[in-house]
Amino acid sequence: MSGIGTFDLLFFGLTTLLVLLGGIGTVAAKNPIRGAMGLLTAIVGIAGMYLQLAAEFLAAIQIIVYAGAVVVLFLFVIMLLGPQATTSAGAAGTKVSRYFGAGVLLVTSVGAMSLLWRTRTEIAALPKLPPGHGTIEGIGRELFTTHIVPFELSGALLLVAVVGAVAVARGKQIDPTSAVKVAVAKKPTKQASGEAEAHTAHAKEAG
Amino acid sequence: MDNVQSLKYLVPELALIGGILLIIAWDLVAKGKAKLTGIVGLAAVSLAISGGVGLAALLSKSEPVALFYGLLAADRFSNLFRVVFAFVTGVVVLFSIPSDETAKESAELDAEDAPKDSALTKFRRDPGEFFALLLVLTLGMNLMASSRNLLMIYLSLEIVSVISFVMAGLKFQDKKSSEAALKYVVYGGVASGIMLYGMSWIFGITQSLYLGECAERIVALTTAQGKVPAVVFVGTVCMLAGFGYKISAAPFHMWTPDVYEGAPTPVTAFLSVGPKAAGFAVMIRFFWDALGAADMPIVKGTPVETPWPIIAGCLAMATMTVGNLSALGQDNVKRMLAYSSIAHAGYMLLGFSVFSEAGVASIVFYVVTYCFMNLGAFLIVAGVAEQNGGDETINSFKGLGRRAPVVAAVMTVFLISLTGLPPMAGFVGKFYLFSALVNAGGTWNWAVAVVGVVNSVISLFYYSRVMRAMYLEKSEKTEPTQVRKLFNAASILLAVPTLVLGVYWGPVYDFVLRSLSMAR
Repeated sequence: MSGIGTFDLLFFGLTTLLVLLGGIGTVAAKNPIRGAMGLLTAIVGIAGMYLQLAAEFLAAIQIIVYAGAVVVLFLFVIMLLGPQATTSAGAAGTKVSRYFGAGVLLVTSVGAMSLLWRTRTEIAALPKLPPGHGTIEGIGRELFTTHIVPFELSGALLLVAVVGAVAVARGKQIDPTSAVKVAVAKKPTKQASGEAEAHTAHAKEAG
Repeated sequence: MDNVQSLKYLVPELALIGGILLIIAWDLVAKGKAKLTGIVGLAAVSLAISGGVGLAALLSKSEPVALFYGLLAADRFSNLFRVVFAFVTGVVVLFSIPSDETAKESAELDAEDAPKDSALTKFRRDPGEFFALLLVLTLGMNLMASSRNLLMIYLSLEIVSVISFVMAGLKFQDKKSSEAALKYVVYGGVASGIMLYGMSWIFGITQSLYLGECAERIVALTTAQGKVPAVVFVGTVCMLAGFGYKISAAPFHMWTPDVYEGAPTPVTAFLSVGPKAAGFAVMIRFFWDALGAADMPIVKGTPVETPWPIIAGCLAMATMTVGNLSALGQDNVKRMLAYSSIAHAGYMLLGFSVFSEAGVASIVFYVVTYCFMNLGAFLIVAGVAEQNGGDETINSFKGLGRRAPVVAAVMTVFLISLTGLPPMAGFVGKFYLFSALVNAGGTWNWAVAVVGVVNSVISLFYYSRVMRAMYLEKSEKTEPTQVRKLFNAASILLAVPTLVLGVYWGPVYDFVLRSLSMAR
């Protein structure tokens, strides 16, 4: 612990606080916009942690991509759905499963805590970083030499995910010409069933 | 080995990538009947190159090499799985060719009662993306089997998962299929999250993502402490969530029945075999390579006790029991086979309980036999359901022994093999798994083996229900029926090795045993 100065500790405390408060805010907020803001706070905190770990590039990316793009996208979606949109919380069926889930989470997190405590001595101090680690040049060199395959593979993964999303979403839309046909074909049956329902309703009234 | 030199060991994957690109291009250019023919041809050629090169490398006595600075390994183990994956995908490609009626209906676009079970339903007029995605999936599985780096393991696993989600949801206008895809996504996300968390623990203690370097550090720590470090234990258990999800082991199996039932049958057949085999490949490599589970360091004269046999044994017992007991009450044959595939993951997990050379060889051998019998069984379910207007329940099998004797006989071969009765391949596979356990000895191994045998007996009940329906029960229809010629040929093609491996398995088992050498 000798290598850590007071400023480092203070900074770490601050970022941890940001992440924790942001996380709690995200989960606990009733208003989805406040939840998104909580997420933003947590993301900024994590960016601070990256800075402290000498990963300046990652810190910048964290702010640009997550805070700048992802949270804004969340906000767009929330705005489109309307800020009043809520989940169907509190229904009778979900209450039991919620308590069950909370119980499982409690048990596992207590177990994880105790394991963390037992393993606190096993994690050795991190090695000294080479100069230039975490800068744009350093990351670029890594990405295009030793880690070119994972880099390309993540590109392929993202592309495939987009193609898959389009394939699934587009299939739901029927060809406009066939949609007309289906609508025409369906109409009579709908009327027929409507009449049948009316008949049964009459029959019930009569009964 | 640097990046450019590595490429020449990557021919199977490059062939697949070429196939994917050509299929997409052909899909844009070609029209009419030539479109499907060309796409299937391209897929078949690229798979043949991929599998052929893998087989050639397997037959030549090539030394294992580390590719891309150690990210991937080209060794006999990865080559064996390359061949398996190319074969499985090839069968599924055959399987996914739409029947003439479906093709006609998709041209007319308005048949409301088209068989919903083909992978290419009426709203899917572009077969290109289905086959391209199938090849990307194969590419991902190949990379899974050869990854020697935690990052590569995660990325390749994720490619396989993402495409599996899409393929499960490809039956448009079908609520069950959409539900299956959504469930798959949610479970997949949770499982990957837990696995990543586990990887971060392993990285934290070993300070490396390369499996070889992880192993050195873990061995050093284990020797120093006289036991497996708790951090490694936590990390591995968390990573098992991701692996267990891929192989559908209990308690991560919940998605399986819904996805297998909802997805188009060719996709189900593929998911129950391909990603499962890939999951086992990556798991074996992780245990073998990173944890060094096969040879633990010796402290004070005795090898260090590891928690892995207990964990793997518990997982195996839970998976077998859950799968078999749930399969008992199923009327939908596809769903029943889904539960049975969970049970088979349990049998294969038995091999992890004794992580010796014999144990690993028996797992790999079982994976190979399982590919034949399970693909075959699904093929017949798809064929029979197609003839019965998409009815996958046991009713459509009634009286099949008289109406379609060949189909019924082939199905019986697969079912007997899945049960694990002689003289089928499934029996030999199970025999090796159990004998690995019994030879290793010890109360725990015996107990696990007994649970496995009891489970095999339970499985006889539900497999024989289908056989009874085929031979002893009468259906209202008596006229002879036929499944498509293509399906017929493919299922007979799969039944032959299922039978032959049950009688004459020695060379194949030796071959598997020799293919276990991994880059270390």
